[in-house]
Amino acid sequence: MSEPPDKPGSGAPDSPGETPRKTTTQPLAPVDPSEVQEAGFETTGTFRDTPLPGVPKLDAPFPPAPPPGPKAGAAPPAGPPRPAAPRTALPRPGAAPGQATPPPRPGQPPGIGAVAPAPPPVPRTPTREQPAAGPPRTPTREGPAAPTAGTRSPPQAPLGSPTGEFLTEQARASGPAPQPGVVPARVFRPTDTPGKPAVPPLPSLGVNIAPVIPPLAPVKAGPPRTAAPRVPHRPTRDPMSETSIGIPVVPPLPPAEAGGPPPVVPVVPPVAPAATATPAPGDPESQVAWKAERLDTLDYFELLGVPTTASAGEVKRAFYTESRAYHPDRFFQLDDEAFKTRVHEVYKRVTEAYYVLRDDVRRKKYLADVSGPDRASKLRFDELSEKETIAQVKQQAAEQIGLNPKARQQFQTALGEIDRGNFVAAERGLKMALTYEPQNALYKEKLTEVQARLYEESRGKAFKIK
Amino acid sequence: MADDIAIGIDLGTSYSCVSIVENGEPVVLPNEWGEVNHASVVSFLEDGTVLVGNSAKRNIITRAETTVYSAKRLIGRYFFSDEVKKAMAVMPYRIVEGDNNSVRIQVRDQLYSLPEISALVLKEMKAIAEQYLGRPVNKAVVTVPAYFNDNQRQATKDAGRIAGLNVLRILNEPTAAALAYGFGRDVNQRVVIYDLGGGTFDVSILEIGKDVFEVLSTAGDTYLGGDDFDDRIMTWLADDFLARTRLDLRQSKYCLQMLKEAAEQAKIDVGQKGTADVLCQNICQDASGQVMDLRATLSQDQFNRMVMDLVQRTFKVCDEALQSARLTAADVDAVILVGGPTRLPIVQNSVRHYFQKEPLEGINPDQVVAMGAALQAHALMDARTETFLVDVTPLSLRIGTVGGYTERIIEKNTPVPIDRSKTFTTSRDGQERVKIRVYQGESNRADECEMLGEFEFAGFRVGYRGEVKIEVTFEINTDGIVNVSAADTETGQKTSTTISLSSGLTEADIQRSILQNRQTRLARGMVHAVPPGTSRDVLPDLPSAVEG
Repeated sequence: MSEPPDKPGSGAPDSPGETPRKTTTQPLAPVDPSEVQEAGFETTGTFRDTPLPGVPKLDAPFPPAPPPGPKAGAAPPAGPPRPAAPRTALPRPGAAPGQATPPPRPGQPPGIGAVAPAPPPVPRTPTREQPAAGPPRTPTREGPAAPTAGTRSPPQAPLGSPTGEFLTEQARASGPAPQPGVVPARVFRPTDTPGKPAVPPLPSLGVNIAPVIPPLAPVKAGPPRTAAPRVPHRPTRDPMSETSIGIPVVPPLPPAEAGGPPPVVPVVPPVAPAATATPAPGDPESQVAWKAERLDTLDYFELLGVPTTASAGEVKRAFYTESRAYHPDRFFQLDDEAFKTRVHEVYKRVTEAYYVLRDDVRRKKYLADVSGPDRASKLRFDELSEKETIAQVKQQAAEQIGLNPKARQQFQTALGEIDRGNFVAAERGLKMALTYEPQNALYKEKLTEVQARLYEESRGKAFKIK
Repeated sequence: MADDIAIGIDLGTSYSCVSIVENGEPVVLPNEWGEVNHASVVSFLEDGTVLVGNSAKRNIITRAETTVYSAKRLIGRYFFSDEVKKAMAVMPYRIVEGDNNSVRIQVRDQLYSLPEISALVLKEMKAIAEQYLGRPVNKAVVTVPAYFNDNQRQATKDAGRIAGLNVLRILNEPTAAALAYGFGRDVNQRVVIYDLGGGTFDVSILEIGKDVFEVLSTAGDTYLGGDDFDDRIMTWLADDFLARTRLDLRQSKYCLQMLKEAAEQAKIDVGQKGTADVLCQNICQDASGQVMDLRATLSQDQFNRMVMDLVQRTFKVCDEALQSARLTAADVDAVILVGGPTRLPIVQNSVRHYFQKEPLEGINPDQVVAMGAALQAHALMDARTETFLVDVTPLSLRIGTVGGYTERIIEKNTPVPIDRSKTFTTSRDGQERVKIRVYQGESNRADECEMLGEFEFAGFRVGYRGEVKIEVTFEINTDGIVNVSAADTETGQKTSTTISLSSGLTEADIQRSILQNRQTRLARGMVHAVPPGTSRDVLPDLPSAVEG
């Protein structure tokens, strides 16, 4: 409706006419709103019988009747362009000039007091900014809640770590891939998982230690066929990250083995899968199926198709590529609900992967997890990992400088003394720091260091003196 | 083919817009009188029909008690919330308490839930689109402020259903605006959407990589909007009037409405012309029956001083968003202003100063959201258009723990869709059900967060305490709506869930409302001539795709 105003700076015309008005508003500030308002509620009552439709009638807040109020009587009828008088009068109407003001109202002529059960005072607009403490609301909400907590058992605290770990793993099997077909499909997988625990992690190697796959193929005729069509789309879909890895030829098909050993038979033709691969590339459905099936065996790096060394930018780019492939909106028009759920499951995992990998701290922790011995149970960054991460960060901070402020202070001065070569003072400082924080490894380490220096020094001195 | 079209609706606090994509370009649809911004006002007329839009807005003063506006401020809120209390004080229509702390609006002797009111606005939008297209429409993308919580989103979605619309997606307004800006432009940019609407303020930072729109972070204030600017002017006018005449206009809701209208106009004028003359004729009578007028002049300077703190508050929110995205103002490539109040010079200047960047020109702040919604609707319906929105959850998802505290399950600004699981166990031998309360908010105290609901799980194995493990999965879907499911971890058996949302509508309520909505006839604006051949009253009977 309105055109964007091109009016530049505002400062312009504070026309002379306004300035006086502004000053008039100021004296009003102190008016106690509640007082004035209450008076007003009576007037809404009188309003109804107003003969003039559409024009609400407002009584003067201070009825002209009681003249004693020195200024009250004067003001309303005249509606005078406010000299000094009303301004002094207004601020305190409720407090001082008793009769004229609202509080005494109850005893006043009936006509006015009639509307007694006035609603709560209209909050004036200024109240709006205060987010308004919620004391009244708390009880209401707590009310119904509390009793139920008593009768029914309240939510339990999270489980301890060992169980939690176990559980999450279990759930993973059932949870994300509810289709019955999925689990059996992985039957041929045993070959990939078992090797893992024993295997030393190869973090530096990217996702693409794929060559392992071929050995599988010969073993069973069936599996490779199912697996095959899904192989190829990867390169087409995700050339960017592929190239970054440097072995673009090998389809990263069996990412399940990524961390695993490349030892066995890398010789076998990687060609075969590549060839069978061709049908799949353009077909999003098989892509999704492929990914959905492996959802629980891929780690986040594999899921996004990036090497563990990928930069933040690469992770982001990979996420965008994956989004283009698996975003549920892409399949929105399809009617196949089961397929859509699968897409949804895949995409949820993709965002999860991105969420973890884009954050340096989480990513570090996750990388350590999946390249460790319990890789299988650590493929998802769950609440446990989250907690461990937080604990780790805290621990690190603790080790760096100490948790106790006094200890930290002592430690800092001790470091200064070491720099100055004053090892006796440094030892004292470190010992003090250790009394505050006896567990701190860094302090202990420094202390032994200093003590060694002291020992050497004392030996040297002794030698010299003699 | 008729079911092939989906419309985009910007359901605003004060104004709503409807848009569709035609020939690849989003078009904002006018109603039969050429208006494209429709006031989100619902006026219940004596003859049982309902008037919606700008003509209903005129009834705010004349039929104050039967005209409902700013319903978006109340949707999805509990009766005991501050916002509702505030509304009860200033709104001329009657707000009453319904079951389970819900809010109901009483019009004459009828009670309406908030989704039902919003549904009437949506119905009008739908009717506008149907009239424009000449065929029924039953699919839509509806926008909500990014900072809306789950209750508010759910209620908005319910409103869509009640209006006979299949809501394909609940889209965040800033995201929609970014989509409208970046669609088909092939840009790689970081953009900030500064969305100051009638009742809410949102800021979102997005990274646009061609067709992928990734929201990096979002922050907002659901209690800050153009209405607050109006309030400042109203306060000033009323105080001024009080000082001169010793009459307090705020005591009468009728005077208040006139004041509000005058203040809104003054705000617009001051933004356009640098100064505003306020004139409210016959605003009230004094004790002696003398009819009084309200006159005032508002200068730009004065106005700026009144609202400066509000504007500053928006930048606190911007700080927060930048911080969550781990960016500084210098990393931003473009700033997009959305919402009517961003036309004010003070807002534009402050934004320019804060981001050290000219806000983008040539974007209509009132319509861009609806256009984005239409684009998204189109992309969802058409397999060839591919845009991928990766939005985030604006609020952390928490569960209640012992002692009135909460524990965070999903952090705010986590990309959605996402799920997160947590394992619970029983606390008593032979326990048959477990109850979990879910909250949204940033505080670890339960009473400072918004409760989404209580979830009760039953049907798991009965055993000794601590022995039964129930894995509860919290999922936030692409609409930003929370789903909860649970399974017994040992048996893998899914447990049944009963969700007792405290202010939501039950399925039966919704079905009843759908029927009622279908029977409600939209009135034509009385001030306008009735164009011949309009069949808007017939439209409600058209088949609509409402899912059970």
